[in-house]
Amino acid sequence: MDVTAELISLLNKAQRDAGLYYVGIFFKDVEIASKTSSRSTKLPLTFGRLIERSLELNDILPNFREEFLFSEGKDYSLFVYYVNNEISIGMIHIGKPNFSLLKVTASDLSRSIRPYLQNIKEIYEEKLKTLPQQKEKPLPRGDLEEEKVKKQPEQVVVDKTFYSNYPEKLEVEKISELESILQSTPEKKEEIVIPSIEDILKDNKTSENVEDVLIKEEPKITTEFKHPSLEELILAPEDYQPSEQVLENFEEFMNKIKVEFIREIGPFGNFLFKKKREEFFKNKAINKFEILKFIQALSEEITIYERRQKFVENARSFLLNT
Amino acid sequence: MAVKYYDTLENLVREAGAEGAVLVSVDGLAIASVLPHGIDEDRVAAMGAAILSLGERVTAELNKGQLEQLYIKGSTGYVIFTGVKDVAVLGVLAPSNTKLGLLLMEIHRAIKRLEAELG
Repeated sequence: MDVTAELISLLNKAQRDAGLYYVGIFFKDVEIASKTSSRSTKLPLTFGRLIERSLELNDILPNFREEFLFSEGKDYSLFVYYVNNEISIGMIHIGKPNFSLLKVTASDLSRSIRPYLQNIKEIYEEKLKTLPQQKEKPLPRGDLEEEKVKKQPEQVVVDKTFYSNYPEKLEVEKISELESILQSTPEKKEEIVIPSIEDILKDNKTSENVEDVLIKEEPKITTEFKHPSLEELILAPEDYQPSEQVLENFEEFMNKIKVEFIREIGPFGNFLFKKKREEFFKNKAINKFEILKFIQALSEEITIYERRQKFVENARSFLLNT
Repeated sequence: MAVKYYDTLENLVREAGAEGAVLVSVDGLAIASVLPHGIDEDRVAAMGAAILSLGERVTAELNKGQLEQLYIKGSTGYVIFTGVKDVAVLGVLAPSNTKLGLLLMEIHRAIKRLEAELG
């Protein structure tokens, strides 16, 4: 029996004994093996990130040496048992919280997996190796088309029928005014995957809600990017000159905010975002405080209160979880 | 303005025998803190907000509503993060020999005060 199968067998036993909803072995933030009743693919990723963040406590508090993390609600409990400073066991129990049961189960499981710690590290290293290979894989046909779309210079054509489908109808005068600004602005090549209005129209998507289009495209933007950590942003001094890597991550982060902004304000958001960004970061350092101010400045453009709140909430959440 | 939050935190630390406390906005920025020397306020603040936010995402995946409190035990003590409405996170550092029941009760009391102060 290979190591993964043996680990899954141990997890099976733990799940059965404690009636767990989810139990998994993690190396840092990567799930090595798990047993779950959940169909969600996001759960291991989010749980992994939670574990990774919690491991930072060992750096912040001298000699802290984490033992476990626990949280409970009325009918659920989360438990993370740290086998060492890299390997953890994550558990979710649905039902009346029982801290002692989870601790005993995790402790038993920890003892059972001790002979496999080296193997777990090897599996993790294997998983890491496969990540760059996935990036080098030839793009499937759909993705190649996406690439083509990305390389085309963006041209903005405004069709009033498009706006009639948008939930918040804009005033005709305002549209005409912005049309003239949009058409007079020289457009550069875009690195973002958001389809231009022209592309949407060409693809007969005029009847679709802008939000639907953006939601479909969003995963292309959010994957594979590494943003500057919150720590980097917080520690950045006023005269901080970001490295190329940080600048690249900053660009990806700004793209995410841009998508969110367009989603909440509508298609004019593309133009407004560029304009605001150019004005705002002209003489300002790239750090967290300035980004927060920038988010605030953008939000003031959104007239509908609920949408403005949603935008601020989502943009801040991106910033927090980078 | 921050003085009232500082007073609440200082009171909590004194009454519960904790080592320190920090009040953090959901953005991860420290509002007020009473921390032992040598502990980076900004890092504790950022990490606290991030952990609670990720915990909330996990509970959202489970459709189990909001996560209110999360605690981490280390060999030298506890770190307890508690949400204050939707606007802030209270982080408390306590030694391993702390009376956990008393500490949690004091945290609960402090949360009530902070909720009133934060409006």
